[in-house]
Amino acid sequence: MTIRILEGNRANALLRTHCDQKKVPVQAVIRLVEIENEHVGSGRRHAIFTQIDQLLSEFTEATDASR
Amino acid sequence: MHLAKVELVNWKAYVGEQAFRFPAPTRRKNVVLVGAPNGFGKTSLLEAIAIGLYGREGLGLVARADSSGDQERKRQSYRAFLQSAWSTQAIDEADLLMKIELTFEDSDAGDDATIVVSRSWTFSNAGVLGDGEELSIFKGLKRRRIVPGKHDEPEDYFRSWIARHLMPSHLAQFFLFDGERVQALANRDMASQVRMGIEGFLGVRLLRDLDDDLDKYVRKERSGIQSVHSDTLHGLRTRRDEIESSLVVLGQRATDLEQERNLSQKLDEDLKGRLGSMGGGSVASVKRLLEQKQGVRTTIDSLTEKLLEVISGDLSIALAGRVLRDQLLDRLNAERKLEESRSAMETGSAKVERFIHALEGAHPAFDPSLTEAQRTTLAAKVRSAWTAIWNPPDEGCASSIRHSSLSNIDRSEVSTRLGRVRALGDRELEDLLHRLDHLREDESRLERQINSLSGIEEPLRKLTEEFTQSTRRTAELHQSLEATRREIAALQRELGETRARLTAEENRLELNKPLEAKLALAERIRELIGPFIEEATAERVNDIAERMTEAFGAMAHKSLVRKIEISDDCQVRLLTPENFDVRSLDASAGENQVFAFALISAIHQAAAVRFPLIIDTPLARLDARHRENVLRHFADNGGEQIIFLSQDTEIVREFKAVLESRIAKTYRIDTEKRGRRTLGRARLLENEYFS
Repeated sequence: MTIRILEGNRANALLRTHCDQKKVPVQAVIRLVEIENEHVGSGRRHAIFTQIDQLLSEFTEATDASR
Repeated sequence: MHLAKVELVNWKAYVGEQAFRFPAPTRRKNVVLVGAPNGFGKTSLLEAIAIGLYGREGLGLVARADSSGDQERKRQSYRAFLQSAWSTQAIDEADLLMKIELTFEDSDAGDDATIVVSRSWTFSNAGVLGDGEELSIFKGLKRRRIVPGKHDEPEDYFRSWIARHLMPSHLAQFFLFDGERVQALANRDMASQVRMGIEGFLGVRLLRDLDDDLDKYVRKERSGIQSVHSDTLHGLRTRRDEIESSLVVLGQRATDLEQERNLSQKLDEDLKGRLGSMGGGSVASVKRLLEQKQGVRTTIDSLTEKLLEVISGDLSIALAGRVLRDQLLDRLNAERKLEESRSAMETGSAKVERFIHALEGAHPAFDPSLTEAQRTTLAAKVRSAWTAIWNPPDEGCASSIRHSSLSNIDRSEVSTRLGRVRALGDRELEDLLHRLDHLREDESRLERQINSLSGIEEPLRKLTEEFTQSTRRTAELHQSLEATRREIAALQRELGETRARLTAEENRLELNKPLEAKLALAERIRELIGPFIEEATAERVNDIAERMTEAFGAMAHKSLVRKIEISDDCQVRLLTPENFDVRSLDASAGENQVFAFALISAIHQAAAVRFPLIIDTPLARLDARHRENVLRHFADNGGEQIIFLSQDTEIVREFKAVLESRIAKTYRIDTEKRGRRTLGRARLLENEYFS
C-alpha cells in the first residue's frame, strides 16, 4: 500500500523536522514503515518484532560507534 | 488496477455460470455502462463484488444486508444473506455450488500483476448452506496460489493481503457504493468516516500500526529485563558516601578513646602502686580485693561485649526461626541456579547466529543446495532448538527471580551467614547470661568487703575511692571504645554490602545499555509519529478541501459556494463569499448527493488510488443539470475505470450522450422466466444497452 502521507518534498521536510527534534534518524522511521508495510496477516507478529529489533539495533549500534 | 472479469455461479439471478468481461480502460475510454431495470440483477452485481472481495466484512457495503450488531449477529446475518443469495433455480437444476470470482488486471504492470479472488460456497441437496467458505487468491498469468504462512490465521491473512494489494475494506465505501446510499457521507455526524477515508488513503493507518507495534515491542522487551532505576543507583551512591564519611569520624573517635583509656589505665596502675606502698594488713587486703574486683570487672566487660556482638549480629536472624531460614536458604540456592542457567543461555544465544552462518557455509555443502525458504526454515529450526534446550529450566532452578536486587555473590554471602546463624544455639546465650549474673554478684561482694576494710584509715579511704573512680572511668572509656569499634565494624559490613550492590546495579546497567538504547529510540519514534500525522494530515486535508471546492463547483449548479473548508476534526463547511456555511441550511437530497460525490472525487484525486469506481444508481436523486455535471465530472476525474450500474431512466439519451466518447463497453441485463418461478433468470447482453 502506498504511504502517501510520507510522499512529497513537504512531507519529507516535515518528517525531517520531527526526527531532528527527537534525535531520530529519518531512515530509521522510513525503514520501519517499510517493515510494517511488508508484513501481512497474523503470522506477521512472529517476524515483525524480530525485524523491528534488528533495525533498532542497527541504528543504535551505528550511533554508539560514531561516539 | 481495473476489474477485468466478474464470474458468477448461481448468485441470485445469475443462474449457472455467467461472466461480465470488461476491457482494459484507456485514457480516453474508461467507462463501463451496465444497464438494467429494477430487480434484474444490477445491485446483485455490486453485492457480488463487495462480498467477493471482503466476505463477511463486505456486508457493510451491501445496502440490503443487516450488518449491524455484534459478531454473532453479523455471522448469522452473513449466513442468512448467503442463503438467500443462492439462486433458487439452481436447486431445480441440482447445482449445489455458488461462486464469485473477480479478476483484476493492471495494464501498466503486465500479466504478472493479474489477481484473481475466488470465493465459493456449497449447499446440501435440501438447499441449506454448508459450513465454511472457500476463499482462494491467485496471482499472475500462471495463477500462482497465495498461501498463508504456517503461523497465519487464513481469514486474517487474506483480509490483509487484499487490503494491501487491492483495497482495504474500510475504504471500499468510497469505491463501491449505491448512489443514493452514499448520501450518508453528507451527514454532519459522518466526520469520523470522512476522517477515516482521508487517513486511510494517505496511509495514516499504517503509521498508527507502526506506533502500536513499537509500543508492544517496548512493553515486551521491558518485561524481560531487570531495569536499573536511577533512583536506586543514586540512593546506593549516597549511602556509600555517607558510610565512608561516618567511618572517618568514628575512626578518629576510636583513636581518641583508645588514647584516653590507655592514660586512664596508666593512672589505675599508678594508684594501685600507691595503695601497695602504704603497707599494713588491712591495706594489703584492700589491694588484693581491689585487684580481684578489677579482674571480675574485666571479665564482665569482655562477656558483655560478646553478648552485644551476638545481639547486634545474628540474633535477629536467629529469632526468625529455623523453618523460615531454611526456606530462604533453599530459595536463594534455586535463584542462584536460575541466574547461572540464564547466564549460560545468554552467552550461548549470542553465538547461535554465528552458528547458523557457519552451518550454511560448512562442508560438506547441502546437495542439492537449499532454497531461500529452506535456509530460513533451517535457521528458524536451529533457533527454536536452541531455545527448547532451556525450556523447561534445569531441575532445582527457581521459576523466577524474586530477589532481583541480589547478585549471585550476594546470594552466596547470605547463604553463608544463614549457615552461621544455624550454628548459634540457645545454649550459648543462656551460658553467657548466667555467667554475667554470677560475676556481677562477685563484684558486689568484693565491693562490700573493700568498703568494710577501707573505713579504717582516712588516707586509705581516699586513695581507695580515687582508685575506684579511676577504674570506673577506665571501664567506661573501654566500653565506649568497644562500642565505637562495633559501630565501625557494622558500618564496614554495610559498606561492603552497599558497594557490592552498587557494583551489581552498575554492571546490570552496563549490560542493559544496548537494549535500553533501542527502547529509547523506539519511544522517541513513537513520540514523533502522532504530531507528524497531525501536521502532515492537516496539509493533505487542505489539498483535499481545494479539490473538493473544484469538484463541487463543477457538479453543483448553485454558484453561491465560494470555498469548502475541512476542519481538523474533519467537519466540512461550504462557505459563501460572506463566510456563511450553507450546510447549516436544509439541503435537498440531491444537493447532499452532489456534496458526497464531491468529497469522494476529491479524496480520489488527492490520493490517486488505482482501483475501479463502481456506482449503482448514480443519478436517482439528481435533477437534469446535476446529472450532466456529475457524469461529466466522474468520467473526466473518476480514475482509471468507472463502472456505472444504471436504471432504464438514468443514464439514457442526453445523459448517455455526455459519456458517449468515454464508453469502453456496455452490458444490458435482461431476464427470462422459466416455469412457475416468479423470479427471472438474468441474461447478459454484451455490447447492448437501453435503446
